[in-house]
Amino acid sequence: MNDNPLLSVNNLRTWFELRKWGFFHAGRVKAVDGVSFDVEKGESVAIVGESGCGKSTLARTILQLYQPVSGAIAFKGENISRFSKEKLQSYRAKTGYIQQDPYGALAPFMNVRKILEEPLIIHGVKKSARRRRAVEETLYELNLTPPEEILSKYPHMLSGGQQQRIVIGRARILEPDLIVADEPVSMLDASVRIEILQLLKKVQKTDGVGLIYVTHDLSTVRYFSDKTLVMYAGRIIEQAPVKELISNPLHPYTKALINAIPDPDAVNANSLRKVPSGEAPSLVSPPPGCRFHPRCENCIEGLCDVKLPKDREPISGHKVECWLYE
Amino acid sequence: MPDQIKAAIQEIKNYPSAIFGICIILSLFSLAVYSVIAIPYQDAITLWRADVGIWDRTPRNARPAWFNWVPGVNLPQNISSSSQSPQAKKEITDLGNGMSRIVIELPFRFDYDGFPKEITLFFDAEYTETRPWVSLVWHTPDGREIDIVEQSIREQERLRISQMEDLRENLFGYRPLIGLFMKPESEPPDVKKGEYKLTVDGLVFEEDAQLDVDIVVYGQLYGAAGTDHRRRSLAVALMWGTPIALAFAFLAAVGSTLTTMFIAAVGVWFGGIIDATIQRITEVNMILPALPIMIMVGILYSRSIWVMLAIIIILGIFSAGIKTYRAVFLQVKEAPYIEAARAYGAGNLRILIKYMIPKVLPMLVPQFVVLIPSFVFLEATLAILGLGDPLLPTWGKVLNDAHQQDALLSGQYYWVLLPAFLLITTGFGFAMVGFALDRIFNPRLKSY
Repeated sequence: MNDNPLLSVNNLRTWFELRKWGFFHAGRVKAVDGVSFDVEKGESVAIVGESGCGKSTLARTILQLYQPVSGAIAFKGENISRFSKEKLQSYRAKTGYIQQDPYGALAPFMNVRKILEEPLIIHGVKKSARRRRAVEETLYELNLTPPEEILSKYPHMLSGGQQQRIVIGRARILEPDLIVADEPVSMLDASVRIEILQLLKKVQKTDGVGLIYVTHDLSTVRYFSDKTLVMYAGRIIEQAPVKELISNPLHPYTKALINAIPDPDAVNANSLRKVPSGEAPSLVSPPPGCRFHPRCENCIEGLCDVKLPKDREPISGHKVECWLYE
Repeated sequence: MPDQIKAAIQEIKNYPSAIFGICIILSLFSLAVYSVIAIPYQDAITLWRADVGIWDRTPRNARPAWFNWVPGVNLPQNISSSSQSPQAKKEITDLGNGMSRIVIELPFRFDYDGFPKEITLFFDAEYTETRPWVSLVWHTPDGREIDIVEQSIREQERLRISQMEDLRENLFGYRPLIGLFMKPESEPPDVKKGEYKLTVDGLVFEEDAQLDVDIVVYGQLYGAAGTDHRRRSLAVALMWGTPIALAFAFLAAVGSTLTTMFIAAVGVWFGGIIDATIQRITEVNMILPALPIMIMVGILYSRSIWVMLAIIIILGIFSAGIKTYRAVFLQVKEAPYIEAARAYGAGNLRILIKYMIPKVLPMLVPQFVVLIPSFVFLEATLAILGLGDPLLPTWGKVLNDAHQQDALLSGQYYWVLLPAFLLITTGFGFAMVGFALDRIFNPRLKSY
C-alpha cells in the first residue's frame, strides 16, 4: 500500500454561475471556495457548519455530482477529475451517498428489492441469485428483518428510520471505501437519530470505510470522533479531532457554535447565551478578508477585514484559519 | 411496478362505471378480432370497393334486419330462390332434334306486411348459337297465374321484373312490385301472404344447352346493419371499422404520448441546447393548425390512413403535452433519488427510463386511455370531410356516404345512427375507464 490518503481534497473551489436573462453573467455563488483536507482510510471526518455554508456542495463535489471550478480531489492518489468514463464508474462504486431526506432518496415506485439491487445491476452483478444474496445480507446487517417481508415493500410503507436504513444499505451494498453522509439524521425523529448514528458508526467500523459526515448539529459529531472540520461561508476555518475541538475551540465562530449546543441543565433556565450577531454572509459577494469578521467580536480592524488569514496549526493536529493565532 | 398495476386492477373493481367501460372496450376488441378473422383484409377491401357482381343480390338502402323486432313491424327480408336449390323443381324433357323443354318451379314464402324493393331474375344459360326461349308465369297463393314475359335470353340475362311497366294492365293498374304481391281489389294495396311460385318454362335448342335461374325478391331489410346506396352491406364497414379505429387510435395515442413524454424527459434531463431546441420546435408546432395540414396532405399527397397516422404522430410528438410533461419532469429531475442514482453510477438513459419516466407514467395512463377515443373521432372527422382512406371501410366513411346521400332527409336513420353509436360507445367506454384510472393513479383527485 502506498501512503496516499483515501481522499485528498486540495484547494477545491465549486462555484455556480448566476445568469441574468438566461445568458448574461451576473456573478458567481462561491459555495466552496478553497477547501483542503484529507480523509484517511477508515477515518471518519465530520464537516460542521450552518446551513448555506457550502458543506452539502462540498459533499456533492466529492461525489462528482458537481464539477469543481478549480482545485483537485485525489482518490487513493489519483485525481478524479481526470478519470475516464470507466474509472469514474468504478469511483462511483467505491463511494456511497447517504442523503438527508430518506423518503426522497428512495424512488417511490421501486420496492426495497429493486432499490437495493439497482447499484448492483449498474455495476455489473449479472446473476440475480448473487444480487439477492447481497440484498438479503445487507438487510440482516441493518436489522431489517424478516427480509422477505421488507423486500416487497415500497418506501412509503416504511418508517423514517427504516427508510434511512435502506438508504444506508444502498450506500454500502457495493462495499465502498468512502461513504458521504449529508445530514443523515436531520430529518428523522429524535428517537431514531441515535439508532441511525450508531448503525452508521457500526457500518463504518466493521467495513473500515472512510466516512464524511456532514451536519449542522455539533452535538451529533461526537459519534464520529476522528476529525472535525468547521466550515464557514465556503471555507474550512478550523480542523481538529472532535474532543480537542469541543474542549478547546480556537476560532471565534467555533466557540460560538459550541456555545449554541443546548445544555439541558436547570441552572441555565434563565440565562441567555451570547450568539454572534448578524447573518451568514452572502456567498455571491463574501466579505473581504476573513469571512467571519463582520460578526466577530475579536475582529482586528485593518487586518481581519482586509486579508484572508492563513491556515495555522497552533496546536499539533489542530488547524485554524484566524489572525488571532498568527 | 407490477404490484402497482395489480393494485390498480384491484381498485378498479370499486368503480362500476369502469367495469362497464372495460366491458365496452372488451366487446369492441372482440368485435375487431372477429371482423379481421371473419373477413380477411383483402376481402374487406374488395367488398367495400363494390366490384361488379358482388352486391347484385342485396337490396339498395335496406334497413337492418332487426328492424322487424319492433312489435308490429314485419317488413320483407331478402328472399332468394335458386333452380339448383332442393326446394326448386326442375324437369327436363327431351323433345328430339336436340331440343329440350326445361320447366323450373321456384317456390318461396312471402309472409310480410310490406312490399319488396325489387324483383330480379338471374339466368345462367349455356348454349353455343341459339338462345333459349323462356316464358315466365307468376303463381300467387290464391291460385292466380300471371303471365309475365316470353322472350329469348342471353347467357347471363337479368330480368328486372319490377321494372316491367307493361304488366300493369294485368295487375289492377299497379306497378309489378306491388301488383304481384297484393290482394286483388284491396285499396290501398294489401299484401297477400303465402306461398308464391314462379315457373320458368324454357326451351333449349341445342344438345348440351343448360338453363338455370335464380329469383331474388329484394327485401326492405337486410343484414345486421342494412345496406347503402351501392347495395353494400353496412355491416362490413361497421365491423371492419372497429379494428381500424382501434388500431389507428392506439398507434396515434402511443406515438403522441409515449414519444412526447420521452422527448420531454430528454429535454429536461440534458437541458441546455437540447431543451431549448425541443421547446422552440414545440412552440412553433403548437401554433400550426393540425387539421388544415392534414386536409392539405389529404388533398395534395395521399389520403391513406397510414399517411394520416404518420402526420398525426409527427404533429403530435411536439404538442402542448411536452410542456405539461416538462413541468413535471423539472420537479422529478431534482428529486434526491435521482441524485442518489447518479451517485451510484446510473447512466443517462437508465435515469431517463428507469427513474424519471416511471414517476410520470401513472399520470400518463389515464390520459392515454382518454386520448384513444379522441383519435377515433379525428379519423372519423377526416373521413366525414372526405379525407377517409380510399380503400378501407371505416365508420367515418359510412357517415360520409350517409351525408352525401342525404340519409337523414330520406329517413335512413340507421345509416347515420349505427356508426355514430359505435363512435359514441367507443368514446364512452374509454372515457369511463380513463376517468376511473385517473382517480386511481392520481389519488389526490379522489372525492369522497
